[in-house]
Amino acid sequence: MIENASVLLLYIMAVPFMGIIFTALSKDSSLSRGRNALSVGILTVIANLLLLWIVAHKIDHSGAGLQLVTSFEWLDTPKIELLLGIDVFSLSLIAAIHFAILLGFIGVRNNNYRMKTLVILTLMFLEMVIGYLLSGDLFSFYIFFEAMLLPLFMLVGIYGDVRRQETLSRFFMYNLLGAMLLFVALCILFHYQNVTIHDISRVTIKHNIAIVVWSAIFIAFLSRIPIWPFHYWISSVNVNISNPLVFIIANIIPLTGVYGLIRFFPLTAPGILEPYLLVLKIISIVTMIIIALIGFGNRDIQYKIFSYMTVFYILYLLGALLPTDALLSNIGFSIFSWLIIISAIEVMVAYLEKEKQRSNRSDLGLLNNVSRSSIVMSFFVLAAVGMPLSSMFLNNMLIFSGLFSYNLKMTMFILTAIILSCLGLLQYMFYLRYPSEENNKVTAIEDISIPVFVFFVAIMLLMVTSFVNPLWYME
Amino acid sequence: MLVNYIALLPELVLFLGLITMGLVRIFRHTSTPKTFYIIYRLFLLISAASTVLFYNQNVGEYFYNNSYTTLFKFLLYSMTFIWGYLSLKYFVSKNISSFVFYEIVLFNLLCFSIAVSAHNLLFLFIGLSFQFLANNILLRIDARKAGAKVLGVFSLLVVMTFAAGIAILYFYAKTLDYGAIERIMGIRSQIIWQYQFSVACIIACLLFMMGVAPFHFWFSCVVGNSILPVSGYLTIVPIFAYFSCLVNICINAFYPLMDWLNQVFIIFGVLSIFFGAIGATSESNLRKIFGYSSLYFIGVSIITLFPLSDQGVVASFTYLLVYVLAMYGIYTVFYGYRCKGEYMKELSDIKGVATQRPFLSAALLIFMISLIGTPPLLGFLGKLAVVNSLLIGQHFALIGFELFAMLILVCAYLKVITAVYFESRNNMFDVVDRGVYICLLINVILILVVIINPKYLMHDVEMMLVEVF
Repeated sequence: MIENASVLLLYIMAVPFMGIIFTALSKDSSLSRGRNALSVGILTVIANLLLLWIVAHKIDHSGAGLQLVTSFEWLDTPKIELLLGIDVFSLSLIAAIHFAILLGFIGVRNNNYRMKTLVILTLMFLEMVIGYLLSGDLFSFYIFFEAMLLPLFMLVGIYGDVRRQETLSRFFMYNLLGAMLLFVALCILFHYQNVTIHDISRVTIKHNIAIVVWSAIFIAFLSRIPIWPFHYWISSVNVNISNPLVFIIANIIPLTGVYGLIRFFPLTAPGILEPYLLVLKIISIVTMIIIALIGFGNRDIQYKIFSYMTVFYILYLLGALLPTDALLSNIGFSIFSWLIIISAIEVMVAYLEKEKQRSNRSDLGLLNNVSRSSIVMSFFVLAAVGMPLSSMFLNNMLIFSGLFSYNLKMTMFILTAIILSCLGLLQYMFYLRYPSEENNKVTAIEDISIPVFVFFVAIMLLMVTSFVNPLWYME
Repeated sequence: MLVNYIALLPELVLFLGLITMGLVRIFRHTSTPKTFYIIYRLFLLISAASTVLFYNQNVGEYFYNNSYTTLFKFLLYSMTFIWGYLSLKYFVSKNISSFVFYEIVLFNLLCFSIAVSAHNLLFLFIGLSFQFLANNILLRIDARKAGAKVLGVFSLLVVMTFAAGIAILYFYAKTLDYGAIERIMGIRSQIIWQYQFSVACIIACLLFMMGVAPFHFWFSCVVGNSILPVSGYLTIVPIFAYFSCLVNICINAFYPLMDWLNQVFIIFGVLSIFFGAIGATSESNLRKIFGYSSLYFIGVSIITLFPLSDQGVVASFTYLLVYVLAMYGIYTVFYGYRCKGEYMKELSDIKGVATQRPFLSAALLIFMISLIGTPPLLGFLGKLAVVNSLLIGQHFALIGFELFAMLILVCAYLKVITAVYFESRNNMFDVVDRGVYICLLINVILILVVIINPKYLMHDVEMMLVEVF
């Protein structure tokens, strides 16, 4: 049907752009309350998922390197050629992000506060993230790495309930600083040799410059992952976000950091940075433990989810830093389910929080007598804590076995942090299902509607069927 | 015989325009703001057309046209034309005479045209000095004299210094022709301190006119206090003329002194970047914020320009072009931010405007992000050109400094974004003129589309710019 399959990638990039235009032109009256814009947003994401389905059929799932490569000569001096391509790893991440954003749209379906702007900025973010995950050369990689900051900043600023403007500014500045470091490092690399991202570790640079370049790239990516000292900005922003879609988007940002590290250093960090890796690992594990404890000890579910996400991001980071690339596909498959699961939990939490406020109740026994919500919430929490309900189970096990064979003590600490953060989620689930007598007397909250339940069931089926490899049915 | 002077046709047309406008002012009693705009538009367009048509005609050795000068003149004409169109909205809404504004702007254009094509220091002096003095009259429109007082004394001082520099140079070199000066200075044994002093006087005056630090004090004051058409005009239009003259004079007249001048320019550039970033962050007046950011961008252009390689000239020009386009857009947005007939000046005035004027605010956001150099907007092209050029020169410290200062400048822009988007609205804004939207749309499309495939444009621009060598 489509002769030149590489065009598909351009279509995938173009669909969100078209979505932005249609959303901007959609009629947003007081009667529609942003429904038109939301519908355009949902349709855009679904359209792109269909295109991703076609792409999944076109690529070789066992093949290495980028496929469906399409290039475009952008500038003559300096000679810059932009390159887009896809592999199974990026495909699974792009698909996961689409599902996560779709879930986010479902989560905000009853909001009517500046819906048009919300959808436009979300699609803009989606466009940039897709571009980032499809990038095959240094410059397109940087372009999308920095470009996603603007929609993110606007989303957090408008919908994030961040009380202090300085926090928001600092959030943007940290990210921009990381992007600038990456820019300078890539420009220096480019002057040495114009290579694709896959060949980047083969570039030979003078010793002193190599330290500067690789460190800058490392810091740029780490600045997106909430490990010390970068954990502050993301935690101070994230825990205040009550809009589920914005929360999901804000939590996709660390993924871009992990992805960058995996792409740039698929085997391990450059030899020149080897002495500093141990420090990084120690910092990562300490951050993991502290954040897991904070999540476990805090009653606020936003803290628990944030803690859970941070701990897992650091797990994936440490997995990626292992001196092997055998686990990369496992990381990709695990992230696929993990992102969808956490998005579903966030959507449900936002719904329950709203209902809680409406019915003036506490968390205790909130899920009693609401069977549909209870089923959905229980499934996703159980999947999140590692029950064999999704691709997280098997792939995380493989990541852990890799970590165990590499460093037993380190892995024990990681495991402790993971258990603590999962216990935090189970603790919340326990409160929600707590069957006290007092709670039997209060009125039940409103359950999720049947169409939304059906949608969640479809996502649950997707999770179960993706048990080994989320893309098995596309091969 | 007459054909030898055809190169002066654009200047002649502008001169006729000035006279016509004056005559209309004297003899027609029922003139409206639009009357002078129509005359201005007519003569400007004819002049622009003849500039493009006779782009390679010269008049002796004093007045030299080539692709380089035509590029800058074309940009000056375009910017002046569009700004004149937007400024009409101001004069119509305030119902005040537009004569002084259009007359002086046309006069400035005539002066710039002479200065850009000049191949002789006397012509350069005539062009730049007269237009700079004429700015004093612009600042007195609508009885606001705060900026005029600051500029008045200093502009006289600058013109006198400029004249002194030229006089000293003529006294020792016996010529004011660019080529002859370069030849004389090219013989190392003939470089005497008097040459250096006179060159320093001339360059200092040019930098003062550009508002480069430490001479920036007049610029921020003038931009912050004058009426919107004047502050926008001073921010956007003259910079191209000064830039063109600076490059021309440094390459074709003062090139033997470049080793010495390079260091001077880097110091000026670094100071401008520093003061621009710090100044913008500490301001709450919208126009001053962007006035100080102009200082930053001019500083970056200067450090990129020197040493005067073709790579540096192209990078610097690209950066300047990107800056001017974005600044144009920002000032166009200011035309839309109006409440009860008054144009908003303070950050507190535009709180929450995005809820009532979403398209204007989105455009403002796009322009600011383009200024920061964030991809995928046109500003990224400028940032890339600058960093690439500095990398070739191995100026790692300058790159670090420039990007660090950019982070400080970003704080100022974040203040604007916060006010526009994240705070609740406290004003009801007036209906925006359709012309503002059209200008914005064109500008936004330029910023969004040119970046998709800039190589053809950049190739042509590069070809035109290198003709200066």
